[in-house]
Amino acid sequence: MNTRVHLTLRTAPDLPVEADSLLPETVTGKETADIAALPLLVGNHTETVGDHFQVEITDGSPDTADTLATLELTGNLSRFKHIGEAMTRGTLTVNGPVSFHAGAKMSGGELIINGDAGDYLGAMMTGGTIVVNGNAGHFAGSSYRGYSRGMSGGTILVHGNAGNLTGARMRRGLIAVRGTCGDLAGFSMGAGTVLIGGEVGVRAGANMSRGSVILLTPPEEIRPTFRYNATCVPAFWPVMHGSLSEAGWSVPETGPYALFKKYSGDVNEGSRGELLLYAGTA
Amino acid sequence: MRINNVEIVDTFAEAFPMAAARVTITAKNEKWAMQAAQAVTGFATSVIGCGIEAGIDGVSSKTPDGRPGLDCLFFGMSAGALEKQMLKRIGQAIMTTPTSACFDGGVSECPADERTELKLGGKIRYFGDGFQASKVINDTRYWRIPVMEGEFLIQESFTMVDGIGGGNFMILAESDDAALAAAEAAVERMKEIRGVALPFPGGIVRSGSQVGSKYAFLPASTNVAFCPTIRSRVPKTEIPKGVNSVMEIVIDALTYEQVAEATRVGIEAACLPGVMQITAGNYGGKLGKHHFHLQELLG
Repeated sequence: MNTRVHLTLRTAPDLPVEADSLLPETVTGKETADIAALPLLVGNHTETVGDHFQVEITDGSPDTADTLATLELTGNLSRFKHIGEAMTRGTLTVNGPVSFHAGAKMSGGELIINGDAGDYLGAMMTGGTIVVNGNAGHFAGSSYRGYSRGMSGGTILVHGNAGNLTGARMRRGLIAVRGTCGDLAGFSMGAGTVLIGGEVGVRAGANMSRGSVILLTPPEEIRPTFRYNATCVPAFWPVMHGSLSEAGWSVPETGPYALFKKYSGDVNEGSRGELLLYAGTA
Repeated sequence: MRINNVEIVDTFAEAFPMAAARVTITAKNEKWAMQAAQAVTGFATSVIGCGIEAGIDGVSSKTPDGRPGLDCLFFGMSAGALEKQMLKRIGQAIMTTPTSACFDGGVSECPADERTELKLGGKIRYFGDGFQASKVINDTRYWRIPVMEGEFLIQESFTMVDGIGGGNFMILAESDDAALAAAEAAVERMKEIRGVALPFPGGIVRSGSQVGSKYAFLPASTNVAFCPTIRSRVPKTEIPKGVNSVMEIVIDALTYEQVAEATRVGIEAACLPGVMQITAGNYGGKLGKHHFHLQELLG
């Protein structure tokens, strides 16, 4: 039987917490006391999960080796970094805000954040799905500094707003931001899709070499390194629209047969990327 | 055995394994989806002369892009032969059709461990001359090929399974009108079964073939044992007295059960006035591993 492990934060810590150990696989098969004894790096010293969380296991007996527990964290986790980092499978739900690096480098599973996320959400992830029912910080799905590749697989769905450099240097996957987005969305991206529902900051798609930046609220001006091609329904858009709708990420103003103005760019990088600006219903 | 006074011969249809795939074709509306489906499944009656057998499976209940769509079935003698023919047909018949897109139709009725992949979109993409681009949506890769009308979208990989080809039965009747009416009635019923392709025109073949020929260069020739007009000249004719016309229905399908069910409902529907006998073609059971005994199916 698949168990549910609930960790409820007692009091918000004063120091940042490295919470990369809080994963479905690390709590699976463990009793309450074992979970409470898991280490957490708080500031520069080690404490335990039990020092900060009330642990509760529901839905029956401990899991078998093949069945992961569903992990649920509740509380103001805005000082907890690396939640869901390097996650490979299972479901991790957070009811509250989280700090930096949530879901970074994850390769599978589902991370659901019912709150805001900090910077570097899903940075360099290779698979899995992140859903943020709130806002995301800067660098969502991007690379870390010094690295040339951002996320290379998976999906990030942000129902609120996102910060600067969303999808910077990404190589594959989808980032969909329902609200507004900061500057340099899709900066230097090499493939994949960045979809922004609301207003976007300056220089969207700058230096992109491949991939798609889709803007449902077209900006007043775009970079001069993008050149207009045509106004059309991109053949993949109905498929993507259907997929997003099934995932609960609604794009009501467009519909599946929306027209987009297609620009190719960045000309400095070979013009193989595209900016798609919503232009009405077909 | 007799149904509606039609004799069901105690024999069996002999069928063969074939590489098979289902393709979903979508378009802006039903008209253009049908145009593409008819074009891609046209001239695909027999592997003997066409290299592939194909048919329209039916209307897609849910298409990946939400547009009207049709499912088509394709059958080849090997994975290589199937791929070669499908590449040509998708490239020449679907991609050329206005507003069309092409997706893997899936073979949910077949066991997962029997499925393999055909990388069709991954090869057709080269038509884009370097301007093609891919888009991965929900772990599925699609190729976007720029065309004059806009973009042609095709899924990168299609599912292939071991299907069955060559299921058949023959309707022996007093006249060509009676044979045709019976065959049409059978096809009408058989088309309702998903996973089944009736590759000949209208689902009916009037020129069934035998293996080989007196001419060394021909791999197949007219099925002399079932030709009424030379009945007296053929030593081992299968034409009973009073039969003046024979029509055959060839059945390809994804599973054994689908062939069996199509055969059953088809024969039941074909037992109409003027039909004297229904039989099936086989090679003595030595060539094809799938045998469909008519009386067992109808028993």
